[in-house]
Amino acid sequence: MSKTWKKGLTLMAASVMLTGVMAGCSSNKNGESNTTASNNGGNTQATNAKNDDASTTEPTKAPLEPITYSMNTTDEKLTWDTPIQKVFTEKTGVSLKYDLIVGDETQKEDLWLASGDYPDIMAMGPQEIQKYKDGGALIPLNDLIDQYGPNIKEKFGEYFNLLKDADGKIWSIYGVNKSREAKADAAASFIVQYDVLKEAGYPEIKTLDQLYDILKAYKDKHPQIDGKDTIGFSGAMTGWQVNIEYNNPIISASGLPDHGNFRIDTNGNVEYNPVSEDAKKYYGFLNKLYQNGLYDKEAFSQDDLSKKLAQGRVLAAYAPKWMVGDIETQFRQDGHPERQYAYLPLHFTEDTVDTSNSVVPTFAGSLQWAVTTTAKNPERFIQFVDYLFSDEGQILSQWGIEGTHYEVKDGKRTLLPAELEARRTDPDHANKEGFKGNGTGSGYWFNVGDGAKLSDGDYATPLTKDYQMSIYDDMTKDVLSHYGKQIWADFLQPAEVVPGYLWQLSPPENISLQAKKIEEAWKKYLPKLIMSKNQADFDNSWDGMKSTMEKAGLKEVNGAYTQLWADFNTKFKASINE
Amino acid sequence: MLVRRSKGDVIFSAFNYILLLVLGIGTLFPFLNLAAISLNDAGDTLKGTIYIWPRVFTLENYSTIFANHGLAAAAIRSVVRTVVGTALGVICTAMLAYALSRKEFFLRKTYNIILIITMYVNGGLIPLYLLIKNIGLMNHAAVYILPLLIGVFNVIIMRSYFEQLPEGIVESARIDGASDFQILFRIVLQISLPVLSTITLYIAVQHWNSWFDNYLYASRNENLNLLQYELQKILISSVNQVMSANTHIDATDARRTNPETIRAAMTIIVTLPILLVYPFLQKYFVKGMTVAAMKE
Repeated sequence: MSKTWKKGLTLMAASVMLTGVMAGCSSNKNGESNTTASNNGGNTQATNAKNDDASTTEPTKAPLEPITYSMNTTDEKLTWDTPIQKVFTEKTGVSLKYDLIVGDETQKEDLWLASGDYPDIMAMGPQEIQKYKDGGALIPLNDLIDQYGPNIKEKFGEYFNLLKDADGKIWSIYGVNKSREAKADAAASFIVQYDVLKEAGYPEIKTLDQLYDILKAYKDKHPQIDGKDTIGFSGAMTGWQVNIEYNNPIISASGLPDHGNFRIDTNGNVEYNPVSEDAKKYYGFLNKLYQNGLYDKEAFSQDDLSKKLAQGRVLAAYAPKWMVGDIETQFRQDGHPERQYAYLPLHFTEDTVDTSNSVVPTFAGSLQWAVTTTAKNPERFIQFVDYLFSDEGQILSQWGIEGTHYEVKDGKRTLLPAELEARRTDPDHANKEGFKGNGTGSGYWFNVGDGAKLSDGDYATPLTKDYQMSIYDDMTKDVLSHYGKQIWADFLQPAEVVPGYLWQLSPPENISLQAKKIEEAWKKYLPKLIMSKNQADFDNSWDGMKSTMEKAGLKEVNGAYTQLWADFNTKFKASINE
Repeated sequence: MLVRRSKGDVIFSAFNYILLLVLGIGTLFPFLNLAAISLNDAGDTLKGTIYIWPRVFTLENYSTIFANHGLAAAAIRSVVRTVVGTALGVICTAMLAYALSRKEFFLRKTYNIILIITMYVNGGLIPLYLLIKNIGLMNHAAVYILPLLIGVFNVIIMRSYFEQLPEGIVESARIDGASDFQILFRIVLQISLPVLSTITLYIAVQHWNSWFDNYLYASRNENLNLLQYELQKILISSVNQVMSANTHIDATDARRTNPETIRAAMTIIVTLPILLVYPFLQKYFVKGMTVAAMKE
């Protein structure tokens, strides 16, 4: 009997130890990591030395008592041990200690709130801010900013009141957008392969019909790319990308700003976009592609367009730049720069007025910074934020340290070649130098918008036309030169200020059921429309979709959104003129 | 005597084998697919259509993971946690199960009911979090062991197994003057190998895989980070990298990791140990489960 017992023990021990052996393997391989660690150490030392130089040229006035605030983050690579953050501390005495959340962010934030365990400073989305405010965990910032935030007030200017909640109190702070031009890295979202444009002799294409012609010509000439069938135009219908692929292009082609699945006319009337007259035109275009074998048959069943684009055989599509970026890097690495994409604004007609490029005055987006009740001396933190809002703080956080990261050439700030090279080759560079922090709406450290200028007349951030051109490959430059442009953003119109976007507002609740039914109808009829065999078939499907939606309550939905938009605008105007 | 196989038999067998083969591949496919992706080039994986064989072979995904310097220490912690947690867990489960299997135990029914209630009703996450906080387990190593000491489901399986053992064995031991502890450890457990290994595996896997308690209760003490947690960190930083790929302050040409390949490699790394142990325990596993289930 004791034999069995022993056997059992051995078995247990064996099972547990095997697990151990496996883990042991991983620890062996980890020997390399020591070298990386010591490398980091070397870096910090080197940068320390640089910092000393900087501080001798600009002596700090009064020694500030050091103070440390804890702050949540989801970026495990964030650290305060960087050259730029060192200067932050020199100037303000403030350091941040990051409290990392690995996993479900909101869940952890809720638990913190429930148990009173939260860090001093929280970077959260608007909904979480609301919860913390309701839970009495935040302190209002009005008086503190009044007293200690001259730069915050100066940068926000006429939009300062937008920081205020409905109760008149400021519960969180985020960046303000001082830029009114298209960001240098902005681009239109209709994409066409370089090779297609080249074969067609770099024609000026402005409309979808012109696009159709060059796609057809290219596919007829090259039925296959790398041994696989050439795809004229692709999309993705099954996942969340359905909105990007079958709603957004209609908005773009009509030259309107992006309000989600709705369009707003000049009188403020909101209309559900997928049944608009322009939608009919766009689906007609897709149907034409389909009938002529140019439309990707898998578009109806795939949920991620980027995977298809990565295969290099999709000639054109509607794809925002973020969807394509990594793929183009891969094309270049594979030696196929001709498979990269041109970003062109295409419209229904040549004289469509394009007002699609719009900006909102503040970055009240996904991340806002709030001060919790556990923060000691909150005024010190506001002083810190105020420093970041100052021109000096902006230059330091966006451009870095003069001589280390940038230099002033002919009165213009320019990133140093070594800095450019480091950004190109080291994905962790921005973390190591301290350009990254928790987001503040757009970018980091409350930046005032790419393309904005500071009081010295120079750009606030390094994302300028020159910078953008410096990272293009030769073929991209060549393609652009055929159109007399330097960067893709040159194709865009100057930005117009809009008070906000419809998709940022919480949707009206009383029509949620109708809205859901309408969306279902849309998704049901989409494939039918695109796969229609002839015009009668298409019209039939269109009328079917329209009547189904009308029955489901299209009018009420449009009405509710029109009301929502009107209310929002009234509030916006009121708070600016307050 | 030779058994003649009719045509029908042959067709049936052929069908049977094909069906089982398809079923087998179907069952294995998700795993093979992950293995292939984990060994495939990050950039190439973007193109999709990897099935059970890598297209551009590389070990880079694994080296990315193993380059993380917190990983070795975290792995050791995970092993220690698994060993200690499993040993204590099995002992406690066995003791409780034994007590509940004894008909002479006068609170048997009450305890059974109390235990079963917890299977259907729980306080929810926030009360649990507050409980852990108020009893001082926050950021303490004990938070990995104590809350998992007893799993009701495991207790029930073990209890059912104990109940079907011949009563005579326990009785004769008692007549010989054995105490309850002696009976449990020297007699009952000796003849309960199948259920013991089943429960051991259950508890070990639970400890090995768990990262949630790390994230919830021990995130502010870096010395308590476990393997799964560190891996999760690597995955998240890979996702972050892709998300900020288009901001100008990030590298444009540097080879990026792809969250998809990282995730695949991670899954393989953490599954392999369990996969290696499983075959040795399987025969007990099945037996332990069926016997216990029949009784229940």
